[in-house]
Amino acid sequence: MEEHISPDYYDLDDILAEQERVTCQVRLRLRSSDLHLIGLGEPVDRKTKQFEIPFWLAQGLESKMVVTTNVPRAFGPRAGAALKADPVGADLRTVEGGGSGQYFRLGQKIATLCVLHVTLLPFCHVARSRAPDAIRLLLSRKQDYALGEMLHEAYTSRLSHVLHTAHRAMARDVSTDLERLDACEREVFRLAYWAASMSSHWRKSAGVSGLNRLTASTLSREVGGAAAAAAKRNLPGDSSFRAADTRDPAGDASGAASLTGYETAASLALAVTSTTQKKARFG
Amino acid sequence: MADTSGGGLAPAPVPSGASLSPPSNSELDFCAENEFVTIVPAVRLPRMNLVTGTIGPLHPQRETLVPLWLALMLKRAGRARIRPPEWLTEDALRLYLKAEIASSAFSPLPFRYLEISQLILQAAPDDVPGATKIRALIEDLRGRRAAKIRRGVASVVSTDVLISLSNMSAIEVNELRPQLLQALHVVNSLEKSSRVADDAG
Repeated sequence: MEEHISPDYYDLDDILAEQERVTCQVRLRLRSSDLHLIGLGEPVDRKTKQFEIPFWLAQGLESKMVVTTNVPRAFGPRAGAALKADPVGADLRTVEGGGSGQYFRLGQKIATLCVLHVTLLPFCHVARSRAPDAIRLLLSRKQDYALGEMLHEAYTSRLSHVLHTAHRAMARDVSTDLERLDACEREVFRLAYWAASMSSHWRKSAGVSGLNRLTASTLSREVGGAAAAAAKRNLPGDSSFRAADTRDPAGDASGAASLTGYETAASLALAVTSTTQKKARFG
Repeated sequence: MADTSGGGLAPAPVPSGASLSPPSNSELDFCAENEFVTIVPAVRLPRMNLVTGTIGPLHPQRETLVPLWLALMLKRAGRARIRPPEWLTEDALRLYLKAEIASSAFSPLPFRYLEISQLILQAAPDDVPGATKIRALIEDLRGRRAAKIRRGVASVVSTDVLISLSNMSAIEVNELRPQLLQALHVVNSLEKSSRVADDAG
């Protein structure tokens, strides 16, 4: 079987989400020594054939049709109903079995896993040999279809609250609201807060000092001012400004087609300054 | 161009989630300076053939359309007065504000209204009658539009209906971009898992 590495393989959030333990059901006849291969050495309930393993392991075993993963209670129908009833109030970080702060990420993985399972089922020899079992499983998985939709709905109904929190964070302490957000939502919060603070910083910087902002007109003022000062002291300035200085400033502007905006602006500034100087000299 | 808006007051943290680098606000300022405004020059300048087009000629006391960067430069040198654009008056802004409150759509302010108004009000407050009131009106408009955007994001993500982004200004788009992209990314992955489920069933 071809093993491909997902792009999230080195993602820390992904690793954290997949650490969560899920309950699995063994589907093959498993000797107790086989479980030592898994490395946990935990006893398997002989009757229910259930045991707990991390999600990443369950994912791998499930694709080999060795185990069936049970959907954790945090993503079950009851949790879904609670989330639907009060989307904003739910605390997604501390929910048990909810991926320890990675609720949506883990939920999405479980939803995908269940779907994968159902699509693979008819083609699997294990399922063929035990047809009634397979059909029963298929029926139970039907309910899990709703998980993806449930997560989608929960995320979107919480999103406006997240954005609102980011807006309020500009003015007051929102740490209690932040505690309830899952990692995906925190990322949105972080970006929204960053964008809002950049924009408020931009508004303030204009009021305090225009020099903080590098624009064509401020640049021309600075560069043009320096060139004019150099001309005043009869010092050789930068070559492009010297060129503008030696020519007649009034006639020069029309021949400035080859100059860029900055250079033109600078030579214009120079033209304005030298006109002032001329006036001062004659008047 | 480097983002110099930080100035030394606060370093700008770069969000690691954003793979694209959208224009910074000071770059938008730079773009806004290419918009045209009317000035009343006090100097005579011949026609200028620039790469971006022809400007001038300028005659004293004759109203001329010039790029904002030139207008600001001449204003700072005391060589011209800036005629504020017609939307940058108290009466016009009051009408815009009324429209903004009445409707759920954005009022048809210019694409770069925030940058232009700020640049003009900063360099030439004496050329804009009622500058203090205009500042307050612009701030009011901005706040109302920002609230509308926040409401819009939630609706755009939760339903398949798109909100209309028309008449949204450059700075506002900039302020919205990172979190909207991130939210859509998550929603997309959640949707994908439920859509595959439909196909399988």
